[in-house]
Amino acid sequence: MSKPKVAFFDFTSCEGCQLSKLNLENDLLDILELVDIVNFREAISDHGEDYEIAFIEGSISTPHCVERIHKIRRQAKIVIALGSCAHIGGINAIRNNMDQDEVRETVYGNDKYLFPSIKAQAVSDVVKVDYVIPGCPMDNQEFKRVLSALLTGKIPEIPEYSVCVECKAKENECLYDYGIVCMGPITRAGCRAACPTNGHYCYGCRGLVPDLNKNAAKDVMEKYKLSIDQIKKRFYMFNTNYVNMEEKSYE
Amino acid sequence: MSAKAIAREKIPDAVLLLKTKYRVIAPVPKGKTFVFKKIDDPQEIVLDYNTTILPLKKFFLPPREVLVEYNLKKQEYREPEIKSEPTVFFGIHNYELQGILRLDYAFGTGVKDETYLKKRKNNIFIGVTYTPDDFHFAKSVGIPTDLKEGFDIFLTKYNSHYRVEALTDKGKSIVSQWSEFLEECSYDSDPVVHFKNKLKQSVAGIREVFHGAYNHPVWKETSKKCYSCGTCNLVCPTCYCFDVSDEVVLGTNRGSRSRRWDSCQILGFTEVAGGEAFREKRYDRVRHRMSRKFAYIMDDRDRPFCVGCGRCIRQCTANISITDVMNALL
Ligand code: SF4
Ligand code: SF4
Ligand code: SF4
Ligand code: SF4
Ligand code: SF4
Repeated sequence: MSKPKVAFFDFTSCEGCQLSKLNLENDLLDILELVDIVNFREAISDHGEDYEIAFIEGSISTPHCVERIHKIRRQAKIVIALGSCAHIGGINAIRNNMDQDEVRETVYGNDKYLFPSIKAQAVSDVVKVDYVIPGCPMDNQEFKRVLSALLTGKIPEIPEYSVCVECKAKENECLYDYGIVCMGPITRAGCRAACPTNGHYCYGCRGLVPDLNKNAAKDVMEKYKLSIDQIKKRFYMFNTNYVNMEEKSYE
Repeated sequence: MSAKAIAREKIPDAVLLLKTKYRVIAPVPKGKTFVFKKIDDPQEIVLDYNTTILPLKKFFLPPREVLVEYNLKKQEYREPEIKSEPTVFFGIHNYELQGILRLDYAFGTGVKDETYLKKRKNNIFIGVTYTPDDFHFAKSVGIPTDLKEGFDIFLTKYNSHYRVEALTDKGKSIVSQWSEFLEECSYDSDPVVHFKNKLKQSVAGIREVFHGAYNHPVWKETSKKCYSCGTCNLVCPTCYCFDVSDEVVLGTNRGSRSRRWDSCQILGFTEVAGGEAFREKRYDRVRHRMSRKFAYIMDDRDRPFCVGCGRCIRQCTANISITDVMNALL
């Protein structure tokens, strides 16, 4: 059986997920035995390449991104969003709540008209995404799990339960006991509760749980003395595209 | 034999002696709270504690455990060996052991779960009384503080001493080795204990409360506050639901099937192949948890699966209280 051809593409992102992949160096040789990596960076052209699995990193935030991702989708059999930026828009999406013209001016100054941009979106907002590997940065072990599942013909599963599930399994003390507001109860697990285990609250980088009860979360945060503004910031840090804090709906 | 007592300061020595023959597991502090842990230094044991983050079930049904290991190419599989090291569980509250007895019932009747049952061999339980905090309500579910069922030895606190009662042969043989630490016990009555948290009605007949309560407003009201984090199930001594998954190590033929704790409060739990969810609505899931504890399953003596430890209330960040919900029905 020939090895599946894999390509990695960068969109709007930091290098965090890239660096994360480099940390896989111990496994890189194993991985290279299983797949052919046909390109790692945008530098090599996107089209005409022969690949079946496309890993996408970064969010879609310019008209050019939209064009590229459509081309990739046409070529690839399987598209996998890698990291928060690609999965949910992530940090980049914070600017979606700001005045877009001002954002451009702040970043590009007088050259702002040379750099058209659109809302920072998840890859799945633009094209069909088959699987996701959440997290900022993405989790190496999960990357290996997903790849292993794909190569053995299984559907890669990522948790949809909350970070609390993993946090409790580790018998961590809950940060709420210290009056610290944590996004764990409404954030998708899979990071082995990395932040709370190290004494820091969860920021929600793996995206929100599928059946978010926003108002319950807001009520708890308020009870723990976060102002509405602070609560919004917690939600918008990674999940701007998935919550509208202005809208009220009790579910 | 006249009653014996042990002074608090002699306890570490008594445990040290146990440690020569047994693995000893006891409560120790963790930050502001407590956890059960294998004891290296008996000085770290606390006997005045409200409760631990996780119940004792973590030793018998660990948060994650491998059930089978296999090799796809060789078509071979094997079950990991389960050692049941002789273990003393020291300083255990009675609702805690009642939780284990409920799990024994669940895993030991019908199809037997050997992975669980094997770990229940060679266990010795040494109980201790406790002062209920704002959340314990064990008495309301038929577990008054002087219930000693299942214990080999029971320690009843009295000022700076504990009355020592050996209740089984194993317990008696341990107590006989403790003779140098024991003194005559000057009291024989059990202390009077008050529970601040209670159910309006005791457990007898509580099951009937659920008849006609299917559409009670309390389910929806509670579900508005609940964000389905799953904590209440994970920390519950009698919750035993797990999810099974397979994983093949990247680039090898080696794989394993393991189980991990699951929670009926989470949407995915009720999903079956094809994406259909039985209890899509959050209030259905809230009602399900309460019904599981008080109506759906009872042990062979018709006792409910809630032992009143209060963990699900204590650790719910949304402050949802199983006693408030039940009292709304009663
Ligand atoms: S998900 Fe995080 S680490 Fe990865 S590219 Fe985006 S910002 Fe960087
Ligand atoms: S610290 Fe955060 S993740 Fe952990 S149990 Fe508490 S709320 Fe959940
Ligand atoms: S604990 Fe939260 S913020 Fe930290 S890695 Fe996990 S999901 Fe991301
Ligand atoms: S711990 Fe509280 S918020 Fe979380 S699922 Fe249970 S009742 Fe709901
Ligand atoms: S339902 Fe709550 S109080 Fe009852 S045994 Fe479980 S955790 Fe303890």
